Amino acid sequence: MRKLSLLITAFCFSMFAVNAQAQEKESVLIKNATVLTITNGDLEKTDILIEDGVIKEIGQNLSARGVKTINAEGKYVMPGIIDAHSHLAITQGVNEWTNPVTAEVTMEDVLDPNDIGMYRALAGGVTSIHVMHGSANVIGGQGETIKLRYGQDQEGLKFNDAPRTIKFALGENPTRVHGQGFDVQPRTRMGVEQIVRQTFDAALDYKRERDAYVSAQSKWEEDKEGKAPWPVAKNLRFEVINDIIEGEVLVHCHSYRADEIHMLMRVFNDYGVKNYTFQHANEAFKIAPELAANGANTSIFSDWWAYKFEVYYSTAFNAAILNKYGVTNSINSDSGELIRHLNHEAAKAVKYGGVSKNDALKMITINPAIQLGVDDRVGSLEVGKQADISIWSGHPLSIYSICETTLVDGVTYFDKDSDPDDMRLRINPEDNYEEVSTSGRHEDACMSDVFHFFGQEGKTAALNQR
Amino acid sequence: MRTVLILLVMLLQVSLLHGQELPARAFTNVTLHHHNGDVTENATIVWRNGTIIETGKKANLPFDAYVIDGGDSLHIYPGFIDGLALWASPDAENNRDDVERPGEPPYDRAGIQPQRLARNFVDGSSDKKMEEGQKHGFTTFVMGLNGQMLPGQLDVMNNQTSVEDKQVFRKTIGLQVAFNAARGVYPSTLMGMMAKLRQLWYDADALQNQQNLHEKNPETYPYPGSDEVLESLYPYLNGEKPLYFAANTPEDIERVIKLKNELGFDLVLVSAEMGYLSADLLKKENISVLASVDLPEKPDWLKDEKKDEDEEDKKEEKKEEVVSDEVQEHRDKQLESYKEQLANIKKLNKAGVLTGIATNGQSLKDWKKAISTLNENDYTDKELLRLMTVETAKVLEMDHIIGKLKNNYMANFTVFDKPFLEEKAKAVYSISAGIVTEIEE
Repeated sequence: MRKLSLLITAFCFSMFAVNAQAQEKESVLIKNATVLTITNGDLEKTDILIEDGVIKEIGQNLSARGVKTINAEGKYVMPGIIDAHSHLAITQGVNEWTNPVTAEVTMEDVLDPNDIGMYRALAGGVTSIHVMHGSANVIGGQGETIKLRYGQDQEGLKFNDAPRTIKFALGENPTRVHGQGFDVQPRTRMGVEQIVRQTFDAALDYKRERDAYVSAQSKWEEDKEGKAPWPVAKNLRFEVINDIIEGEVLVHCHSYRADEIHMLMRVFNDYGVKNYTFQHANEAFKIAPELAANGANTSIFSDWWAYKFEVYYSTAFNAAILNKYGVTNSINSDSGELIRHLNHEAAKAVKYGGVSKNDALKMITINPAIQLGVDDRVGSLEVGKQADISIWSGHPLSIYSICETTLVDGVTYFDKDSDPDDMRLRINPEDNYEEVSTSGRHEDACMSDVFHFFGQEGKTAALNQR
Repeated sequence: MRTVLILLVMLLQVSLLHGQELPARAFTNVTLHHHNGDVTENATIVWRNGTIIETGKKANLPFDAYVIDGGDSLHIYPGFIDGLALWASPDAENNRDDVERPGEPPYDRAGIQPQRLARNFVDGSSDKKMEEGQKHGFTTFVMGLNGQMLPGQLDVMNNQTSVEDKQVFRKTIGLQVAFNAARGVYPSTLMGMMAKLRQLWYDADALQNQQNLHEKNPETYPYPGSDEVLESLYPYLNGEKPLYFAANTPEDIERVIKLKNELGFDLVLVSAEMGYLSADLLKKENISVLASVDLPEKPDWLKDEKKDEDEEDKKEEKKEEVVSDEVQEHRDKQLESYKEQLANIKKLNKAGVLTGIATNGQSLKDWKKAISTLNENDYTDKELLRLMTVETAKVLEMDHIIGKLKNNYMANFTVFDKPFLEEKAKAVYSISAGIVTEIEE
């Protein structure tokens, strides 16, 4: 029995490893499904042909030779779910909380390909996530959009050519950590605004000096005439800030209150920053028309609030109101547990706010894709898009439906029929069976690493803030 | 005996100071264990002025040689080399003071101290620590410092306890780096350290360029000032010396290599406990490794199984532990992972990665235990001896002068009362750069 068990395990692992590592893209034919395209209606008894990880054809009676076929009769097929706010797959620190501005740090440097949370998310139909810095700083670190190619290394996880992103944070978190914690700016919401403005101004000054030096140096190296320019050191922090101003880095801002959301839109208008997303945004419903007018996006919880003072004024109708006013809104998890059933979170928008099923599904597919700048490649089932797909036993918004198969680039990364008990990628030889446990909801993910420094008193206070 | 040795040491120091030739020294009737596994019994080893001049059965004894007769019971090994040792370093400072702005701490509070030179931290308390190194066969060690991200620069030390001025064999061979963040100040995380290293490089580059401009044309360019931290990075920025960067997991190793390729520094990888998972990449990038032998603890249930086997003779009927399939599956993976980590160095060698060893914070007692564990797990005496001597010397690019019992090599060796890998073997004499230390119980 022991040998048999070992053999089965070895087989599962080797199959998984081969799929994940060697075959980055696959060709697959999905047959006879109800296809929820998101952008082109729901199609009955429809096939999807995937060629080398890309959707080649959507229609009826499709055939292809030598291609793996999935019989999806009676099943629902939808685009892979995209979570615009996650702290999965990060190693050794979510928050570089020590300075109000740390734009130079990046999640790209600290991806953890061994996080089993990714496999759990795959089991909930999720195919891409936005890995984010925490919310301790006004301008935190850069994010990284990844595909859940569980089993691949850091490079293998990256969503190729996804736009760069960065985390901002307003309100209680940065004021508590920096103002109350260390008596440095910002102590108030006013201070938060000024941190952003001062940083942008300093970055623009830097850019003028640095550009002048780089240009003069280049000219001097060419002709060696006159005086060599005085070197100006490259400043990583200000380089990133300038990239934000120039639209190369998309801002995702942790925020709750309407007044502070309004404030940041004013600041961004002053500096010409466009295409940004307010994360959490519990009071966004109060200023939905203003958000729409500014082209601002929101990414919210379906019905999670009252975990600290600034999050008391909230409503489960937030998603519906934002949707009605034409704000591109997504529903996110910010949690290793919620991410496993984002379909339920989207369904709440239908239940509470009467949002259409398709619009609710948009909030976990194409809308987060828009917010991450990858909607030309994922987020809907269209010919030419990448084959990130989840297959469900019933309609994904039904509480009774479960995800059965999840594909990324056509490669199966989750299959309920081939789902070994232990999917850890790396085993620590010092961890005995009794010591290996599963982790539950990441109740304080956004403020990770901050608590331990402030001690228990700080932790109690900080637990009240997300 | 001790007094005689001290007198001889004093004589050596005075003579070397005046450039005079010293009397030769020799051990006769000893067993020589060479780096390549060859063993010569009833042999003699002779050295003068810190250099080996004769070895073998038929070695000539110079007329002036001071001879110690091994009486056929002593075993001589080439001096072991610790590729990066912290055991001679003072403890890390308690670096937790509050600072006004945690985002802008002073360099030292952030654990950024590349200006520190390890050799300057050998003090009155060092003899005892170095004696412990001698007992474990180390005659040469690369001295690193306890600290955080950038603890200091490394020196190769002769492990001598009986001389007043410790001999530095090679000064400032590299920069010690680790992903070890200071607590409570910037950079406090891995991502912060990655960014900070890049920024230090950019700042040092600009300062160096500014200083060069001023130096050549002081009337045109202002004096840019000095910064001992940034200035100490210049040799590494300019590719003159390598960074000795500690990393263990394949992900951290990838991060180090990413920084190397971005910033263009030379690299020796230190520790690399899971280096085998990155062996092909290390080979491709032509990176040498000073591997840790800080092995994982054997799983508890495996220890119990071994204990049961030992006690089997005593008990006729033994109750077999019943475990579920799930537990068994976990144990099988655990055992596989344990064995893989034990085979780390073998796999690095197999992939063609030049690999030596470094204790890098491991206690010497644990190091000896780990060497025995490796010996019990497919590592031959020869493999281990090569690793601790000539292979480590190769990584340090000093294999032409240390690591062998051979003419014209440094007289670095240890005399044990039994073969080193025997459990009760004890070092009797330690010879480093020709200086003899008698090791007391």
